[in-house]
Amino acid sequence: MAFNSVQYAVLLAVVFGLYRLLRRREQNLVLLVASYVFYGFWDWRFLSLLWVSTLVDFSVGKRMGSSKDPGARKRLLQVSMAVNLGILGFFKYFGFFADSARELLETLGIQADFATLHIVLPVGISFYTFQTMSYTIDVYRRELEPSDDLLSFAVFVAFFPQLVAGPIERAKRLLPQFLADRPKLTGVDLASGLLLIFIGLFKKVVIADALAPFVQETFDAAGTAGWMQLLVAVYAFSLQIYGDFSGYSSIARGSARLLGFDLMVNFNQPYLSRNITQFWRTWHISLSTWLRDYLYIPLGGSRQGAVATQRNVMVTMLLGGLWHGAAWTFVVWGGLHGLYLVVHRRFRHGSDRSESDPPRWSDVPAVLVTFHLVALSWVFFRADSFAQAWDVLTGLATARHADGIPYGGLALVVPAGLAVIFIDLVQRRTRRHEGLLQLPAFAQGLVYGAFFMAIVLFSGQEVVPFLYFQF
Amino acid sequence: MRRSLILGFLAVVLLLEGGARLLAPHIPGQLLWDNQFTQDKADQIGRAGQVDVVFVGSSVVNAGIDSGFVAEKSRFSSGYNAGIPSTTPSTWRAWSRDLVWPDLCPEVVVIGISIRDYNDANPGISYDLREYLPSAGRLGLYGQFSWASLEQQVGRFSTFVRIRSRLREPENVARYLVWGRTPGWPVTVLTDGGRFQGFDANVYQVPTQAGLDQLAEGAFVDFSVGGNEDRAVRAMIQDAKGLGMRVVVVRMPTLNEELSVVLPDGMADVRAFEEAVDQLGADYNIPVLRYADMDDDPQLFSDLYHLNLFGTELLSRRLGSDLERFFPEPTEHLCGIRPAEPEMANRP
Repeated sequence: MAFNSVQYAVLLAVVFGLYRLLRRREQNLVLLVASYVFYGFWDWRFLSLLWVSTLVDFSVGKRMGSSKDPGARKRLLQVSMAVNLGILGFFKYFGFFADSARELLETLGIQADFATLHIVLPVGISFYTFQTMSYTIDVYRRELEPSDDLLSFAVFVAFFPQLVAGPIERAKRLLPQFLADRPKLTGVDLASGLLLIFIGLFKKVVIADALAPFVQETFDAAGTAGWMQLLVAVYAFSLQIYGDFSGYSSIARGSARLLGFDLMVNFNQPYLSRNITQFWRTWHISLSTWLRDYLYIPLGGSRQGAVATQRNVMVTMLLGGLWHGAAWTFVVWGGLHGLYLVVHRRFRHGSDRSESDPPRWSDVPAVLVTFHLVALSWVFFRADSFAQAWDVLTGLATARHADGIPYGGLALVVPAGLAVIFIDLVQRRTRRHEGLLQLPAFAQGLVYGAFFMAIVLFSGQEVVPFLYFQF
Repeated sequence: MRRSLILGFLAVVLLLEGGARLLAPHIPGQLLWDNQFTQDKADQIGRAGQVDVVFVGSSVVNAGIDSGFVAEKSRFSSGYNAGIPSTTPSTWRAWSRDLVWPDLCPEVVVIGISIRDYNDANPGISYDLREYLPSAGRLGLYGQFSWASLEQQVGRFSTFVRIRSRLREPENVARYLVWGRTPGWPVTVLTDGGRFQGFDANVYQVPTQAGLDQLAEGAFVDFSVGGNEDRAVRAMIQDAKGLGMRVVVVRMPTLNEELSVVLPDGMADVRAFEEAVDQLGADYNIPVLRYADMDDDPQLFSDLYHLNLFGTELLSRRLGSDLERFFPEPTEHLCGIRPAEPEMANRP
């Protein structure tokens, strides 16, 4: 069930309506049923994977809590890791590694004939697996008390607003919210929740979905498209993926807020970043902080000298790339960002300005350079294969003959880009994702009117699934 | 506070609605069928009323048969060419059941088949039915929901909603306003009888090797007959006969010798196709016409399949004479019967 579907609107309305009449435990029960309906709408068979993760991690957490033996605690953690990563590895990476091994052996002249399994990738598996792993790791580290409320824990794993595409919440942040009584819904909560949903729908329907056909068409013809068309398509995809994913996160946060939950911010105007380090502090924050806390720091972080730090950055980013998809193009995307970060760490100089400070005119060159580095990396992220990525890059690098200016693409990319800049600047200046609420009332009306009409204009076309569902 | 907000909101909504109302008379209306060509044909059929004879097929039929020339040589004074380009018999069958039989109510149905249409292994045009089946115009015939039909309902009150599918393409809107046409919204030039005239003036050019390679890798990457497309033609014959209509199959002329170069098994594939078409005549006791002497005469063709105006005139007159010979007297048949439900057949 996609957020931009009528079914989701009905589900949210029903849950919201019931919710106000119930007490905490019944509210959690309603949320659990709604979450399973939400997930089962896609494929009910894979609910069993959710149940396995839930029961295993709940049991592991409880046993860990009652055990004082460090060895036993470690073994329990290993059980949780094995189950979660085993599920993830089988469903997401089995085919990838089998194919890669076969290709490698064939390159060496060895004919390999592996049985090929056609494994369906359960939607959102990378998100909920990482979320539930954070629980057992935090309990193991004694940063979190294990839960003895299976219902609350099950909702924490399956909470529908963020189940299939995040934000990847930490147990120590979200789980206590299920254990506590919900705060009373105020007018401000209602307005801000609805506004987040509204902005998210705008980003998804008007920015991401409107650009998707142009991007698809151009990448499909990457070998013959002229450089101007390719360039506009790369910009378009940069906006598409941002609109798609941050739109999803915004709807998730808005939906959760209506139900009395506070989900973490997942995007903080990343395209206003002045350097690549800032970009990673503002792009898919829930994943980048997860990787930082559970991979980069355990590897040694920046505590073991420059070379080890660079290695740790590269390992983290390569695995981060692989998290996104079982394909070498994602690994290259991660590697490219790792390289950017390593180079930036080497040459950066201190600044007392935070990444959340509003940009100045003097920041424009740095923002543009950062954006273009990121946009370049998106070529690998978007391409179906290395050959396609190569076609795009060579077309750009050699200024392949263009038939003319791609007005059709530009007519979509320019307004979409301006809309993104407008929303991000308002959010950055007000330091609030609901910053539009701080505009004068008439100006708010103008903006909401424009967004509403844009959603009317672009809605009702074929529903384009959220890009991050595949991860 | 709230009043200012609502005023601002309404200001934008009214401004854009007003703009749409100014714009609407100057751009094409909402597209209800899967493409402009089908839309134009559906509009023509809606206006045509009952006719004596219809011609069903792909672009090969649409360009190659002119009802005016047919009428000159027969008693069939009114005819409509219902051929739609880039389609195969699976789509023709749905199109015929949906619109052609019920609205045009012909006494005689001519089904024109070329080797390209009949190839089950042609991946190049396999999308046609998938595009056609869910089109809003079609679903609307059966009273089924589609976003476009909802748009039409809301569009009674809001022009912005009614023309929004056009407004999503600002480049085409701008071009249309400036030049009165745009490549993104192609205009089809049809005769009153529904024939596409785009091939008329073409003189046959021997295809380049690259063109032949493209054909071999596209339409004829493989070749097989006797599957879905054959079944669709048979179903179409049965549908028409069930309504009391008379059916004729025409094996459309093509440049077989040049085509055989790109067919996987050369002339053997041509013969397999011809046998399959002949079998239709034997199985349903209907005339199967072929104008073999027109095959391989490049002066009659625009390309490997499509006749130019010379070819069209010749074929249509000869077809008219044959129809007159086979069906000298009119017969009773059923009219205006559309199935209760649309058939949502899926091609494997």
